[in-house]
Parts: sequence; structure tokens; C-alpha cells
Amino acid sequence: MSISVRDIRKNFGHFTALEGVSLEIPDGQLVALLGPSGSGKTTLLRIIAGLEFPDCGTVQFDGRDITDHSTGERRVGFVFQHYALFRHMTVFENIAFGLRVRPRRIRLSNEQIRVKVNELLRLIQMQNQAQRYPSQLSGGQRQRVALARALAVEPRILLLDEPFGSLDAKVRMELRRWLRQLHDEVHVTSVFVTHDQDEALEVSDRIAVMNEGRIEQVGTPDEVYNRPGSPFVYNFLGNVNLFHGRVDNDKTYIEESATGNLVFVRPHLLDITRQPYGSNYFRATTKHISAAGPVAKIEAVTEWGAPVHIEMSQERLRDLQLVKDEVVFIVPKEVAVFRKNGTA
Amino acid sequence: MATSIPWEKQTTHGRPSAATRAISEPAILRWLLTGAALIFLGAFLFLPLAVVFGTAFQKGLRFYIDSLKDPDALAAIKLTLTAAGVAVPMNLIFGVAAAWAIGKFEFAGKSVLITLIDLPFSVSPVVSGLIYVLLFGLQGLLGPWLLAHDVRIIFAVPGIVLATIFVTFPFVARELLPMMQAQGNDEEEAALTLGAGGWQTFFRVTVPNVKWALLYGVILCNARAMGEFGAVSVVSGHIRGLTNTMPLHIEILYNDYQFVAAFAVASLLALLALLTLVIKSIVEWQARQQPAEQATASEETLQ
Repeated sequence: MSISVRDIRKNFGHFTALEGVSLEIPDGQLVALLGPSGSGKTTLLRIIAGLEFPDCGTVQFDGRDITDHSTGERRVGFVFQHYALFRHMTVFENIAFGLRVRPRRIRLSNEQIRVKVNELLRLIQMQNQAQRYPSQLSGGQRQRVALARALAVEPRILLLDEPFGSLDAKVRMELRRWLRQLHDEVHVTSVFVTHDQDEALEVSDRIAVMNEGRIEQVGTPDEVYNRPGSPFVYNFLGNVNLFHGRVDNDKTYIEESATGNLVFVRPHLLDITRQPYGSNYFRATTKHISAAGPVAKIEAVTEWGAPVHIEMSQERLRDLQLVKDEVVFIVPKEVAVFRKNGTA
Repeated sequence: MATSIPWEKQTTHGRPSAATRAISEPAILRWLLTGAALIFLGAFLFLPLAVVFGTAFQKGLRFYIDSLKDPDALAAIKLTLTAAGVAVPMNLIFGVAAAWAIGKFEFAGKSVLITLIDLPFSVSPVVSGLIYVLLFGLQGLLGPWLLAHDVRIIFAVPGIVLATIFVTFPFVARELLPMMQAQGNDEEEAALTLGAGGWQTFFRVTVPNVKWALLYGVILCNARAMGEFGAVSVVSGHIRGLTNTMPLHIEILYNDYQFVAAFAVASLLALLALLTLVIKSIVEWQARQQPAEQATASEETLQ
């Protein structure tokens, strides 16, 4: 089922959560709403779910306007950040809840419900915990139960609000791979909210980057990472160094005194040399060298006193034999330039 | 926000931990303090209770039973049960509705409503009673109209029921509110997304989550409804066999120098208080037991 959101606005008192957001989500995709806290991503998700209603604008499922439909009528599965499991019910009853509250004429028999819940328990690999209470489960298990509960009603759309936000790093990693696999099997259109760029880049088919109640850019992970449409997107997805610069004959020169252009360079696209070469380089003093991990990270200070981060392979660092407090030349290999007003 | 019920849950039920043992005082001081506490408890709690039962049975079991079987006493017991029987369910409905609205929704005038719920606690019961006299009494605002339509509220059963409802109405709401606020809306929203209707959400999710607090509130509400004296005294008119509740009946007997009969009826109220305490302890124990069991079990699963 495709989702179409048109020109949604939403205020909470004096706070503007969304100011004119439009988004098309094709059938069967897994889309991430990525942005910092307060960017309106959760509000947008809750409006799609029908837990919140927009001040103006429309929401359509498969081209049908469902803006005024209640959340129950929309048949969406919603997974809450803090799981929101029913604390007085067992895992089994939690998953069965959506099936039990159906009107009698379309309700499954107890036997059918049992079969279905057991199927879902197998899917989340928790057959042995069926009679446990939520407080007896670990965070990862709770989130899996929350997912199974949402899937039990066979939702037309699956919505996840920071699904892995409160889990530790390792469980997070496992669960997001699992979510990707699950999506590939079940193929239900899914939208999930996250502030974690890695999560969005790894799991989703498409990413909508949000900032201050607006969508900055929509695209595949490759597009938003490698061809960011705005300084904000560049900044938010991955580490970046920010300089002022001058554009001359299609060439960019990084200069402290230049105004009008912002130059973004990813840390791994900066090279360090002892001799100046090319036409674009600047001087910096190394301050800290961290050689642990797959890439070496170097912190330096430019001649005009701004910090700059450089990443390079361990081999390159060994070849350079860099030491602390050494004056070196820094050469950008690839830059992105934005005018001050934000256009590329 | 106004203060909460002053006497709520001040019992400490902690197990002695290793930490308390480390802070050890000289034996004499410990005995002295424990002794002082016991003497205080004895003088202010156990002694009066013993006196109540002792005096009640002073003239033997026969006289005790006869005092209770006296028609006026029976009428007082019946009226007390009626007042509590109406007030408790009414305040149960009101308390749940108010706590639900305040705990789960945002609306203008919310803090005013919270203050209003606390009003009966902050107003003297006598004043509460007088309010009804001023409203429904003969010289009152609605008095002439009620007289013309032959409706009796003051010095009649409806007045007593109204006064009881007023005095006891914070109990259920006050017990539920902190729980409902702490639990937030997540589970209700989850139920809605799963297709549950409003009533289904309320009865399957909201109520089970607060059931112990609810029961606790009802017990306290009932105890106060049966024991209320001040407000009821003002609106009752003290008509024997008609508008006397148990506390009022006890007062009349006592003023008539029928001490033994007075204490016999009083012993019933004391019994009610003891019963309330027992039920309250069971409810608290149950409420504590459940999460505790789940917590220990979860420790096992995580290991």
C-alpha cells in the first residue's frame, strides 16, 4: 500500500512541528524518516498512523484520502519507542490482543488465534517465552513482541517510532538486520523514525531527511549520502568539516577570508602531505592522532585556528610517520560547495 | 497542586538491610527508643481499642447483642450501609472518570479540576454539611422550591447520602491519579492502533493497569463513608430510627449515658476499621507481590 502525504502542517500551541510536509512512499518500500530531535519526524509518523491529526493537509493510502479516519480504521501496525506492551498481559495475550478485540462477526476462533499467535512467536523466535510478562523480558525481546503484536492484525502499513532507540548497540545492530530481513519476507510498506544515520543508511530503501518541520531531501541512501541536497543533509549524514571558500573558474579554494560559500569536506576526503601540491591546500598543525580502529583519525588545527578532522587508512598513516604538533599541508580531494543561502 | 492525602501509605515495609545493621546504637538507647514507640502505640492505639471492646462486653454478650438488635441501632446500621452503598459506587465512577480525564488528557482548566477534587479534604466536614443546609434547607437557596414540590433533602436520607458523597469523593480519584499519570498514554494508543474501541481500551488496558490502586481507593472511600460524622451530623437532624447513622447513633447513646450500648455500636465501627486495615494490607501485599515476582523472574531470564 502506498502512502501519500500532502502539505501537512501541525502546530502544538506555539510550537510548529510540521510546516508543509509532502512525501510519497511507494508500495512495499522501507522508508526512514531521519532527523535530529524536534525535527517533526515522530509527529509525521503519528499523523500517518492517525494518532495525531494535522491542522491542514491530507494523508492518502493507495490514493484514498484517509485524513479523517481514526487510527483503528486505518489498519496500521505501530511500534512504539518504549514498546508500550500491555504490562498485565503475557507475551501471548499481548500478541493476541488485536485479534481478540475485533467485532464478533469477523473475530477468529480461539483455536485460530492460538495458531496465528504461535506462528508469530516462531517468527520472533520466542516460542518459549509465551507465558512471560513484559517485565520479565529484555529490551530486545520486548521490541520483538511489540513487532509481532503489530503484525498480528495484518496491517497494511507498518510504522515504527525509533524502534531500536532504547537498546544497546549490539542488540540494535542485530534487530535492524532482522527488521530488514523481515521486511524482505513480509513486504509490507514500512516507515520508521530514527535519529541514527547509520541505521537509516543500512536498513532503508529510501530516506527522508527532516529538519525543523520540513523535509530537506528524499532519496536512496546512496543519493542522500553521496549527493546531499543541502548543507544540513551534508552535516547530518556522516562527519564533515566546514570551511569558507571561494569559487574561481569552477575551482574551489578554501580560504578563511572568503565569504558567500560554504565548503563541506568529509574527513576521509582530506589528505595530509608534507609538501604543498596542486592549487588548493592549507596549512594545519596536528593535535591528536588516534590510530585505533579500521581508520586512523587525526585532529588538527588550521592556520586560522579552526579544528579539522581527517581520516585515512592505517597504511597511509604509517607511510607518513606523522607526529603530534607537526605543521603539515592539507589537500581536499573532493568538496561540496553550497552558497550561504543553502543552494548547491 | 494541593497536597495529597496526608495519611497515605506511610507504613514502611522494607526488609532490614545490611546497611541498617551497620548503623548500630548502644543497646540501652535502642531499647529506650523501641520502648517509647511501643508505649506510644499502646497508649494511643491499642488501649482505646481495648477500651472500646472491653466496655462493649461489660454487661455480657447478651446485652451486647441486644444493644445491636435495638430498632434504632438497626436503623442506624441500615442507614450507614445505604449511605455507603450509594456513595462508594458513585465516587468509584466519578473518581475513575476524573482520574482518567486528568491523567490521560490535556485540557484547559485541568489544574482547577485537580484543586476541586481536593476541596472536600481541605474544607471542614461541618462546613461541607452546612453547604447543603444553605442550599437545600428551608431558608436555603432551593428550600422553598423543594418544599413546594414536597422533596425533602435536609434532615432526610438524601441529605445524608449527598453529604457522604461530598466528603468521600477525593479518595478514588486521588489514589488513581498518580498511577494514571505515571503510566502515560502509550498502552492506550497501542490498543487503539490494534483496532480496539474506546471502551475496549478502557476496560482491557486502562483499568487492569490500575486495579490495585482502584481497590485501595474504594476501601478507603468505604471506610470514610461509614465513619463520617461532621458533615452528616449537620444535615441529619438526629431523628432516631430515621436519620441517624451509626456514628450519630453512638453519640446519642453516649449523651444518654448508655455507655455500654454506645460502645457496642462503636465496636462495630472499630471492627470495620480493623477489617479495612486487613483488606488494605492484603491489597498492598498483592500489589507489591506481582511486580516483585516478575522482577525476580526477569533476573533469571537475563542471566
